[in-house]
Order: sequence, then structure tokens, then C-alpha cells
Amino acid sequence: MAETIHVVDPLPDERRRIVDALVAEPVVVKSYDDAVQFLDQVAATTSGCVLVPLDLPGMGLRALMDEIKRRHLPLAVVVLGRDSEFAVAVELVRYGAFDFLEHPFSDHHLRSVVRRAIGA
Amino acid sequence: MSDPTVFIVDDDTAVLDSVAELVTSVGLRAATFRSAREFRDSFDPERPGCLVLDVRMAHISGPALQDELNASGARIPIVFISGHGDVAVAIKTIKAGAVDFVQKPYREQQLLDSINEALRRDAEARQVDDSGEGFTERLAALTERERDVLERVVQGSSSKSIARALDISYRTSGAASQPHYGKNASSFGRRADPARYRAPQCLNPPRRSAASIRVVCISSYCLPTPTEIILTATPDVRPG
Repeated sequence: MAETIHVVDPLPDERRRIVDALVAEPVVVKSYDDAVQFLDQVAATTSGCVLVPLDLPGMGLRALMDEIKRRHLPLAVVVLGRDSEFAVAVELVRYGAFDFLEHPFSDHHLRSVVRRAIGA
Repeated sequence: MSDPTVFIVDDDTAVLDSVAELVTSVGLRAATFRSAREFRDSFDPERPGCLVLDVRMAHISGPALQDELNASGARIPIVFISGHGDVAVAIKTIKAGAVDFVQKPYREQQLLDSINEALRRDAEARQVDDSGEGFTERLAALTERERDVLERVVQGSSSKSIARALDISYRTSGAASQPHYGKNASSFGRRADPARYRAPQCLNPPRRSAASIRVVCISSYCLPTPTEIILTATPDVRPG
């Protein structure tokens, strides 16, 4: 079964950029406007990773990670953010995020982080 | 058990002295080392405490020392301090088990909080060690299949390869006191100390079947810090 990459971002350009970067990867890519939509739609048996921006509006990253954990979803969480957020990035990884990808990042770097996140 | 010691390793003596002063000012014991090698030469894993480690040092860097300690099964909790804000390095050390990664200039209370957290983790891990009976009971409560999984986790298999080897589907979840490393449990397994992991000697050879496992809760007797790893099979099946 293919791994699923869940792209959660309110900005359509951001989503499109990421989806395009992953187009040749052997994964299923799904995108969502926000965390609530993602949580509503994500299947319990899904396996893969979630790409979310650091400034995720609405429920926020910790609440999202808590919910993923609560449901035992086998999804690694990768946060995309600005490199000036050093302490925040460290704190998120301590809290449970798989990795933190700093803007600006290349498509190549994105793909390599995603591959590691899904255990490839 | 003796009082815990905060072991401080930094080749910058100014930093070494100021961290030592901070630590002793709140009544903790400090031991200072000017290099990773110096620390390593005197390191005794039986001594309780934690490690405050600089990142950039000549010869052996902080992260390199961490890798060595992990490989040898040492479980001393580490707080990194660094003057260089490399996020990727920080994340790597956290995922390799560091308690925290503090950037200079640090707020003294932040460093103290992290040191206290590290000492707490060390004390908890040692408590679990000493209560050997509790571990045996917990182990006995596992099914054969679950113990099989446990053994593989400790040996460093990723969740995926465990699932493949046992021919089961899987879901994994980390737990509260440790970062949730997604589906890869091998970061835990790699740090397990084989000498401390007595379980395989008291187990019967595990049976392999196509049945799915229900839940495995592993208390971290053999892992560096108190940790629960929960492996859940889908669909839920009664354990064999």
C-alpha cells in the first residue's frame, strides 16, 4: 500500500508547490485547506506523513499532533517554517514532530525529508 | 545512590566555568571537562546525573560524543548548548535523544530547567532499573507475539521491517514523555543497552504466525529514558 502525504496549508500556491514537487514520488498526495478538514477526512489506516506550516492557523500544531497521537495515526509530522524560529523548531521536535524544514527549501530537499519521514 | 552530578563538557573554559557556577549556585554538583575525550575517559555509567555538552569542540564534537554514547548503550541524558543556530543539528540531536538544545546566549533559568529535566529523566530511568520485579511482571503480561516485537524494537528494527518480518500490518505511536518519532521505532532500539536487556534469556522462543498483534506497551527498562512505545495492529485482533 502506498504511503500518503497529507499537505495541510491554507495557501493554494503552497499546496500546489508541494504537490508538484512530489508528483514523481511513489506516494499518494492529498491536500487540505486546514487541519480540521484533514482530521475529518483522514482514514484511520492511512500511513505516511503530514506536511504543515509552522504558522498553522486554527487549532495549532500541538493540538494537531495531540489528535494524531490520540487516534494512533501512523503519520510523521513535518513542519515547514522560517529558520528564525530555532527555539520553536526544537520545541516542536521535542513535542513529537519528525522534522522541521526551513524556508526556503528546494524541491529536492523536500523530497528527501518526505522519504525519511515515511521510512523509505 | 549518590547525589547526581551535572557533567559539563566544553572546550571554551569561560563557558565551562559559567555553567559550573550556575549549576553549583542552585546546590547541584558539577564536574567539568575540557574535551569529549577527557569526559569519555572518566565516564562511569553507574554515576547518576546528566551531561551538558557543547556542540562545536575540537576533535570530537558534541553530537559525535552523543552518537558514541548511544552506540555504547549509555543513557546519560544530554542537554546541548551551542552558539551556532543550526536547526538541522539541533533536530538531529533531539531525535537522537537529547533532552534539549539551548542556544547561546541562553537564559539561565532555561538552562537550569533543561538540566533539571535531564536529572529527572536520569533518576526515573534508574528507578525503573532498580524495580526489576516490576519489569518481569510487565514482561510476563505480554503475549509471545508482543515479546517478539519488543525484542525486535530493542534490536533496532524499524516498525516497517518488524511488520514485514512478522507478516502483520501495523500502526505505531510514540508516547507522552518522549518525542513521537513517527513510525520509526529504531531510534529507540539503537540506544538500548544489550547488557541491561535481560528479557531474551527468560523468554521462550517466540512463535511466528500471520496473526496480528493487538497492543504492545513497552516500559523502557532497556531504553534510555522512560518511554512507552505502543504498536497497534489494524484491524484489531485478539492476541494469540
